[in-house]
Amino acid sequence: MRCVKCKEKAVYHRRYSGQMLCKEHFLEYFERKVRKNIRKIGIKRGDSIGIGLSGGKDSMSTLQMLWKSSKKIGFELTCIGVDEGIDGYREETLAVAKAFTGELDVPFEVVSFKETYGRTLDEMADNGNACTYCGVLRRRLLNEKARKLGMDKLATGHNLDDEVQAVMMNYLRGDVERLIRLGNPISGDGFVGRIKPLSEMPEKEVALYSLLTNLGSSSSECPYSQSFRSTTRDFINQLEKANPGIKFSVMRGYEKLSPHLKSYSRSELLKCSNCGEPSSQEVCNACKILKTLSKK
Amino acid sequence: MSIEVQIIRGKTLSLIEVEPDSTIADLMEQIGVNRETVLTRLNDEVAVEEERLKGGDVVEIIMAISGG
Repeated sequence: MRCVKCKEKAVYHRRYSGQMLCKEHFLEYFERKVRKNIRKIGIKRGDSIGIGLSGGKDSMSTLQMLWKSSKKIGFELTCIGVDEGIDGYREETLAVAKAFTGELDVPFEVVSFKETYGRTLDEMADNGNACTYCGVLRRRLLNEKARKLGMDKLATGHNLDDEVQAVMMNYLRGDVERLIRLGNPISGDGFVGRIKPLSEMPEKEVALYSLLTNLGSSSSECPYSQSFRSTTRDFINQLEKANPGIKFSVMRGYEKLSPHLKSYSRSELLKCSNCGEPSSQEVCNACKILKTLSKK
Repeated sequence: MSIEVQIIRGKTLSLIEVEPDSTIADLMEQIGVNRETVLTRLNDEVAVEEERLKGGDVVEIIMAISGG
């Protein structure tokens, strides 16, 4: 099979466009599309950008692409790693992350559940709630650290698949508030705005980019699985197999719908009455979880 | 008459018989792997799923999607 552009050996079949691409033209396409997204996000010269870095393919690719753009545009990067305390998993991925930030000469700060919340995720997790606890507590820690470091924006490694899964999960759960917030992210005092440079890139393409550029990202699997997300992910990938491009269709449809949903949103950014962190409710989810845990 | 290829998945190596002229995509179907969720190497080189297999080929299946 040959590349549609140069007739070299193809490494990727972009089924949604029907094109075969060789390594060189795949990398050119991938980086051009991510750069376009970075420009759209509106990072300015002199900005300080935080990156949530786990050592997996998504956050490592995000770092690589933002690092390249930072040299052209002129902004600063700082990576933030979160050690949730997942035995036999996180140590390895954070070591990979640390090595890569060392290569690029980008500062890398690590914050941990144990130091902040007094216990590891392994110590918190029971009854299958690890992913809920982890998601909420990790987001809070990332935001807190990014704010303390004076970051203008916080980048995460979310790819197209993550975005489609989030839309579909909220549709399927009937969680309209969260569905609205996806397209109309909260902003305001104490909350560092999120950016997602890979949000237009299918996960398979991120994995291929990571493989072809020898990013050395960790392929370890988190031992905690989120069954509803996995089920949704498998369902979407079945649809994509039969209908290439359907992930993009879901997002384009959601983007058209999103502005019309905004007026139905009841949530506004408040300050948690307990910890003072930004929250859409009177008491933030992190404080609710920590209160539940303190009773155990 | 079928041909035999080797499959590497993580640390597991197995042998499987496929029909002559089968592609990597056909092999994925046969073993129940969704092509949208994996990358493949054919004889150590990253390959598209439309590549045809011949006897003795080694296909490495690399998970492209994260768990969780």
